[in-house]
Formats: sequence, structure tokens, C-alpha cells
Amino acid sequence: MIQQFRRFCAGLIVSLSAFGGFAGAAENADLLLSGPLFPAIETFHLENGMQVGVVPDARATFVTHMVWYRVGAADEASGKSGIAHFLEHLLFKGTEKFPGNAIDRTVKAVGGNHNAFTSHDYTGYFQKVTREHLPLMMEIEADRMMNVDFNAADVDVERQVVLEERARGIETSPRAQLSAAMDLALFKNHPYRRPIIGWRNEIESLNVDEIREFYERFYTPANAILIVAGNVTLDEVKSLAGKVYAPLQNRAPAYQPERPQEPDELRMRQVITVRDPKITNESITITFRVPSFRTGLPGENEAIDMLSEILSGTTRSRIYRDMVIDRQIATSAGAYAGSGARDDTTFALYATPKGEVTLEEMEKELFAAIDRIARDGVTSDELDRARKRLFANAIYAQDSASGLANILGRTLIVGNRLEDIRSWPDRLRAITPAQIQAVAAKFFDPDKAVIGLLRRPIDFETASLKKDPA
Amino acid sequence: MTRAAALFIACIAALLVILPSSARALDIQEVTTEKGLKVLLVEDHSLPIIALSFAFRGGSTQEPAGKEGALNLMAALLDEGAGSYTGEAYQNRLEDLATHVSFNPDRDYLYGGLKTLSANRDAGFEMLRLALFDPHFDEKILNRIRDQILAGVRARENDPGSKAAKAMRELIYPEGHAYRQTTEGSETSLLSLTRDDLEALRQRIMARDNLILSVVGDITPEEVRKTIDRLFGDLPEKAALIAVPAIEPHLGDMRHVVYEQPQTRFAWVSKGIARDDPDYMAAYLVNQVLGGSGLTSRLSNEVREKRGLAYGISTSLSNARAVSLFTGSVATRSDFADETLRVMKAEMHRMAEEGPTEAELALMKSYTIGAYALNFDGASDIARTLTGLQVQGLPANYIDTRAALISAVTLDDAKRAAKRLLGDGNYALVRLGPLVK
Repeated sequence: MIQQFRRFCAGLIVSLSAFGGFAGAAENADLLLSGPLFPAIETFHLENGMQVGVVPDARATFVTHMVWYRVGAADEASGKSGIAHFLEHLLFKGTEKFPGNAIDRTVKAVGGNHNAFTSHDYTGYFQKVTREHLPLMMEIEADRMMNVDFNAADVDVERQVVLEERARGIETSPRAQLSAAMDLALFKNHPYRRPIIGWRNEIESLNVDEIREFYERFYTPANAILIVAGNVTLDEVKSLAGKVYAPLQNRAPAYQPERPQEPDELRMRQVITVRDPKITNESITITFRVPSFRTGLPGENEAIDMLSEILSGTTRSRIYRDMVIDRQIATSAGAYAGSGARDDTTFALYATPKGEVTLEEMEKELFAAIDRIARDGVTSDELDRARKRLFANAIYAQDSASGLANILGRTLIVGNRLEDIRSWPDRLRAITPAQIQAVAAKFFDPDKAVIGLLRRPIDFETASLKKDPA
Repeated sequence: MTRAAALFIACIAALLVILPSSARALDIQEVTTEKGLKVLLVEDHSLPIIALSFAFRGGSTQEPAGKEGALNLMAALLDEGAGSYTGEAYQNRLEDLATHVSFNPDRDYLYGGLKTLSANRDAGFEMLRLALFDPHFDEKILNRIRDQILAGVRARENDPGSKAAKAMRELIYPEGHAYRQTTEGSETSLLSLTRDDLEALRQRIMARDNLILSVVGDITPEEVRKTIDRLFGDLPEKAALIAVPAIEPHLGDMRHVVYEQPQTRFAWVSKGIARDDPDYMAAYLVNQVLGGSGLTSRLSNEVREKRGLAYGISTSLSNARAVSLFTGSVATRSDFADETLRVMKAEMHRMAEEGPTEAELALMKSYTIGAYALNFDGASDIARTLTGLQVQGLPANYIDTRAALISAVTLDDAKRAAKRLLGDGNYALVRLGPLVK
């Protein structure tokens, strides 16, 4: 179990937010999003500082119960990479009350599914069960927030599991290796540079005392957020959380991440190449550092999301239409923005060239796509369509309470507020073509870009490029 | 929850608080249209959304030899221009309607879905009707999409998962059987496809007698009757399908695909069990105990939890129309690959000999019954689940009778099923990884 969420995937946090009251029979999704988004969501705090978010949905057949901790891979001490994710694994190893594999067995016994995830910014645990089992899930989660029973033997076995997870996810994938190398280049000082799962040599050297210390520092009610979504009411959650989570005593203060930020003065274009005989289609990815919702000036993050949508939201969006459809120089091409992060994050452009077209030409084309917007802006029609698509997504998002639980958790855990979800349609409506042009001009300096190339081995080098099977 | 499971929970957790259950059964209606189309409907007017899920029986197995990949290419082109709309105009119109249309072919079925705001019901369904009845299969778009599929096919040539899957298909399926091919087709077959191939396949597959339909959301039975007939009622009455012979997988062989990487991947296949076999439910539970989801399955416990040999190991029952399989896979450290294989074989053997224990069976019954509710996360999810029921040949009331069917499985049933699945010790094995030192 236990997959990691890439920062990119966690991305569309605010842009896939939830919706609100519906107007009548209108064709345009824009008109359907009147008023604040998703009025049924509520948040409150317990006395010990634990925040609670509730997504009541009477239509649901089950509840999603999640506990999020405000700590992730970006909060690890230097040289201790992988500790947040390793700890996440160990939370399935049991407590005095739920020894051995009792947590997994208990969730199974009530017909539940459970898992956990680690990102650079947070670590989360969840169960999906029918509503009568919610109290039991709370009991498990409250217990393992405070009482995990670490022993060295478990830690050593689980270390091997984590290393195999790493081998499967990163070491056998040229694309994942390129991505890791590009993160190192884009983030020179900020800990987003390290892989969420950690470096192999550092995972190998983590010891049980360090892991326990990390656990005791960051796993405490004031540093956690509870999200409950599904066929429960606000009052029911208030009552249950009041009985199960509220009595927990804090053993450490809430944590406010303060990480080293990126220097702005370095200007260098970096090219990273990964060559591997497994590659059949060469490709290019270009990354830029852009502000998150938290770190940007008002409107910047929304404009960046819209820029991404205009460049690459559909097959009619600029990059795809130009490079794949009209000129047929690429088989795929697009962009994505990782706006859900706490700190400055990644914006990426990518393309796979077609036929004899070179990666150098692809690079030129991708930069040109941004440059055209920086120089000439976008049309109001492009903007309207992009906005309409995002609004339609938001309308459909309310169909899944568990999906909303994720959106709410990711929003709150990086320091944003429920109000930020609620005001999202209005903020999106306020974005002008000029703002999109401005962010395109501001954040996409080719001399600060990281260019990643996935290539076939050079013939005469093939032998020396064979990978070490260790 | 079974009594044993309830007792287990009572022992480890003294519940502080309770929350009453709100048994919210899905109210499934069976609607028949004037044209005789049968639809499973769940009416839900609390959100202004309608989800439709459908499936035409006759998947990529219906492609003529040498035309592999035709169905997949056809499906990719259905929403790229239809009726009076060019490719771009069609997509823009869907966007204006906030309507999503999707097609998803596999070996045995062409699946499709539509999600629309109920305010745009008629206009949204009309777009789907055009895609089914009057797709353009525009030459230029066809070539572009074919190029993309080709790029994917080439990219997967060296992908360890795809290589292992290909080796397994070649090991277990007879030469010439459609199941040996992927739904994407090969480079050669893709290059041979023409617009006429797609059109011929469309006309053969899209009909009323092989169509499965499910609708969920803000729509009444009367509206379903009208809408579904308007959408599908003019299809030919009968599909022209080629019979696909049922096959027994060829078991007993092993293939080593040499591949330099730090992990070794094993995939294995043994005899499966038909979905309508009286022992199916017992076999399903045996699979859960042996290699089902989570950390407590026997394989997971032995390979991952005790020995740290792999991140994941799992097995599953697979039922295609022409074959039933019991499959498994693991990716493990290459230097301990033989150890992982030894543990895996020992557990399969033990399961065949002893079956599950009473406690294991009780736990997995409880899990399997309870987890069904998790399949209903929103309108599209529910619609897909209802289509899945029909694809498996299950009645609409299966949702209500399922728990009793599972509860009725006895330990003897499970032991018998385990023996039927694994008793002959016969399996096919693919090993992908470096040469053994």
C-alpha cells in the first residue's frame, strides 16, 4: 500500500475545487456556479488545536475518514531524506491496542479500504467505510497518532519494503530518474529538490530513534487535520471528534514549516539528459519555478492555472493544436501546473517529437508558445472557454464526497482556507487576459529553465551506459 | 459483518461511541423502452447531473485478422467529428454543454459513457447519438490519432510490464486466438487500417441485441424511455458478431525474459473459474485470503510483511468471455528473486492442500460484503457498476442478494474451491529480470 502523491499530481488543488448553488436550466456551466462554492462544507477546531473539515453528502453510501499531518518530505532534516514516507509505512505496524497487523485486519473486518500518502508538504491516512464504522476508524487513527510501537526488527523489514518501492517506482523508470534529476536542478536550495521517497543511501541509514523522534515532533493533534466526508452530518462529526480526538493531549506544538527558499539571483539554463536503452520515443520536459497559491501575489496563481489550461487543457488548446494537430511535429505536447504546493512550485511544458523532428526543435517550439502569450496575450474567447471547463469540472466534482475530502484536505493542510475554496469562482471570473500575459512574461525566463531530455543511448556508448543492477 | 469478525473487533477495541447505520440501499429500477431496450436506472434528483454507461458486446476480438487495433482506433475517433460538426466543432459543442463523452474498448466489449448536466440532457445525448451514428472518421484526424497510438505501442516495446504481459499472452493463449493481441494492435496492423475498416467494424458491433445500458441521476423512468430510444433506438436490431471460441489457457511452461534492471518481476497464471460457476464466490474468497488487497493476505504477509522482499504481491481472478484465469504478480529484489518464488509457490501449495482457515474465511467474507458499498462513489461510478453487473450476467437484484451469497460460503466450499484453482499445481510463469548469477 502507500503510494506517494507527486507534487504535480497534488497540483490542481484550487483549480479543481468544489461548487455551490445551482441556477436553473442554463447551458453554461459559468451560470451554474453562482454564489460561494460548496456551502455544505464546514470547518472548525477542537480545543487541542486539531482542525476538522466536514463534507456532508446525504447521497453517499459510505464515509471517507482522513487524518492529514502538516509534515512531508520537505520538512526532513538534511541527510534524513525519506523519513516522512518511511514513518507513513510504520503507522501500519501497530500499537499496543492494535498490535501487529490488527489495523489492517480491523479495517478489513468492517469492509473498509485504507491507505496513506506522503507528499513534500503533508502525510495523510484514510479509510473508506460505511458510516456505522466511522467511530472505530477514528479510534484507530487517534491511537496511532500517539501510540505507535516502534521496534527495530519491524523497521528493518519495512526498510526493505520501502527500498523495493523505490526500485519499482524510480530505479526502473528512466522517466522517474529524469524527473528526480530535474527537481534537483530546479530547486537549488528549497527541499522540494529531494525525492519524496528519499535517497537510497539515506533510507538505508535511518534508525528507529530518529524515526520515533520525527513522529513525536510532528504527529500531534495541533499539527493534524481531520476530514470526514460522506453520509454524516456536521453535528455527528462534532460529537464523535469531540469524544475521540479532543481528549488527545498535544506532545509538541503545531508546526509551521519554514523552509529555505530559492535564491532569485541565479540565472542559468540547465540541460539534464537521461539516456537509457529502454527509451523508444525520445521526449523533452521543460520546468520553471512558479508561485503557489500561498506564495504568489493575489491573482498570480489563478492566472498561472488559466495559462496552463489555455496552453494545454484540451485538444483545442494552444500547444496541442499547434504542434500535434496543425503542424504535426509532435505526437504529444502540453503543460501542467503544480499549484497545490505550499511553496513555490513547478510548471512544466513537455513534448514528444514526431518522426525526424529533433528535441531541439521541440524546445524552441515550447518556448515560443509561452513567448507568444507573453508578447501578444490571450483572447477573451480562450479565457472564457478555459474558465468554463474548470467550472464544469467543479460542478461534477461534487458528485464524489471522497474526491471533495481530498480537495479540502489538500487545501487546508498547506495553509489555505475554506474561504479560498468558496471564493474560487469569483477569483477565476476576475482574471483578465492582461494578467495571464503578465504571468507568462514574469515566470518563464528561458535562462532559468530546466530542460530535461529523455534519449536513446548513443550507439558507441551503449556498453558503458548499461545500468548497474545493484 | 460476520459474528467472528464482530467478536474480533470487540476484543481489540472498546468502542467509545457509536454511529447508527443508515442502510441506504440503491433503488434500482429496470426500465424497458418501446424499442425493447433494457436499462438499469437509479433515479437521484439531488444533483443536476445524469450519467449514462453503456457497453456493446464484441470487443477487439471482433477485428478481422491483420486488422488488430481497429476497434481502439475507431473508439478514439468517434468523438473527433460527427454529424454536422467537424472534429473541433464537435469538441467545442461538448465543452459548451459541459458534457463529457468517453469510449473505452477492451477485448470483449466496447464501453462508453456520458456525463451531462440535466439541463443539457437532450443536447448532450444528441452529441453522443451523432458519434455513434454518423462519425466522420476523417482521414487527417485518423492519421494523427494512429500516429499517437503507434507512439504508445513503440514506447511500450521496452516497458517491463508490457513485455512481461506479452510473454504471458504468448505462453498461455493458442496461436491465432484474438486474446494474444493487445487492443492497441501492432505496428503492422495499425498501418494497414483504413477508414473502411473502422466503418465496417462500427456497423457490425453497434446494434441493439448486444447493448447493455445503465443510467443514474436526475432523470425519470419516462424520460429514460424516450431518451434512450432516441439515442439507441435506430441501431440495427442484431449485431454481426464473430463467435470467439472459449479456450483453456496453456499452463505448465515458464519463460525468462532477460532484462537488465534492479528488480525481477514474476507473473503467473493458473486455472480460473467461470463467473457463473457455483464455486465462484468461494473461489473469490480464497483469492482474497491468498493474495487479495491489503497487508493481511497470506502472500503479502509472507513476502512483504515478514521478509521485506517486495512492495506488493497480489493475485486475482480474471474472467473474460472466452477464458477464466487466476493470475498473480510481484516485483522483487533480483538477488532474492528465487526466495520470493519459493515462498510464493509454498503458499500456493499450502492453499491448495489446506484451504483457508475458518478465521481467514470469516474475515474475508466480512470484508467482501462490507466493501461493496465503496463501489458507489458518485453517479458515473454507480452507472459503471451497474453496467459491470450486466456484463457479468448478474441480475439487478444482485446488489441485494450478494451478501447472502457470500455468507453462505462454507469452509468446505472454500477448501474445494482452493483445490479446484490450485490443486493440480499447474501454472504458467513469466520471469522478467537479469540472468540469474
